[in-house]
Amino acid sequence: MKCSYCGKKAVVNLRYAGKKFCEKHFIDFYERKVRRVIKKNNMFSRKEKIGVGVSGGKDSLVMLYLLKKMHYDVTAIAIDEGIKGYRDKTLPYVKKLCAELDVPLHLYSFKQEYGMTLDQIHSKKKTLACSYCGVLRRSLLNKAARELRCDKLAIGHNLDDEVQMIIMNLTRSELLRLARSGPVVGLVKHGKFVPRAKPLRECSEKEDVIYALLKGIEYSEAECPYAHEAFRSTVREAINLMEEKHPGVKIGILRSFDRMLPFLRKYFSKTSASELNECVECGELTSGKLCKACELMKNL
Amino acid sequence: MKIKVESRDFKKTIKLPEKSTVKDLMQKLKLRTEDYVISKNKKIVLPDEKLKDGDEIKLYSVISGG
Repeated sequence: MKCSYCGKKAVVNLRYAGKKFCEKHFIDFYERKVRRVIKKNNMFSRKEKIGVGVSGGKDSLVMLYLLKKMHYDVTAIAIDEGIKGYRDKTLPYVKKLCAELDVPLHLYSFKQEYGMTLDQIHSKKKTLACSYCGVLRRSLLNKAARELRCDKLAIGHNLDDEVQMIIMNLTRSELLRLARSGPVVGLVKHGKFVPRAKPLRECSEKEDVIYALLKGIEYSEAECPYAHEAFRSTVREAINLMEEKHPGVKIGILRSFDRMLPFLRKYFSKTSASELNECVECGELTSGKLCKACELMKNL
Repeated sequence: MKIKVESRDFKKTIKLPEKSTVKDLMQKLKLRTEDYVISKNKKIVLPDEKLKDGDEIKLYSVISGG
């Protein structure tokens, strides 16, 4: 197979795009796509300080590398949830890349913030590790970004993550959650909320792996021992099967969602669901009285 | 011919008939090409890539992380 642009040997075949790429033209294609996503969604400006959530996996490290390469003012934020045999393997990759790129790294931990590691939480609530982790991690990332005076928080959600999130929320009728998501997360503005942006949301996880390998970005291939959420796995398999048989399904779902999003946001901005209050316990943001993180920790 | 294969989960040597391709190797391993980025002798290749004795294949899982 030959590159659609120069006729050299192709190393990537993107069926949904109907194109094959040599190494050079894939890198051009990928970087152009990320720049376009940032620009069309007004994600970042040159004056803003961007907190970059990094885990040590391919997506977040590629994102950090690219934002730095694009000369944004970036600072890395890593969360140590306390997952023995996993996070201790991924964090060295974060430290290595931050040192290479000369990016400041700030490490926050569940143990320090919530007094408990995720392993300890898991030992108390066997089936809920992912639910706890998602809520606590999101809350801590927001707090960290605010403490570090970041204007935006960049998170490494890729196309696969986004499409899975859309389908999962649709099937569960979680329309408010959908309204809050999108390229830049957040239904309403609030001084305590740092808007979360997803510059890789149009890049598939396979493209992220290829870009990391071509650029020599070392990342952890470790898989979280708790990452076996049954419903997400089913959705992932179903979408991958559709994509295999009908290339373009994933990007089609994302584009359709992006067209629906303004209507969803307009609808929910007129309801009480969009109100934000400060949690009576910790002062973080919530739509009720007690934030989800405090509610979960109380239930332990 | 013998092909050395390495992934996150295993490291082994696989015997294949002459003129086999990466796709044949993946079928023998019962793995889906869609789930991996594949390199041959440290260069990314597509499933139609022809193999020869002594080639080193590395499989990078597309799904990783949390």
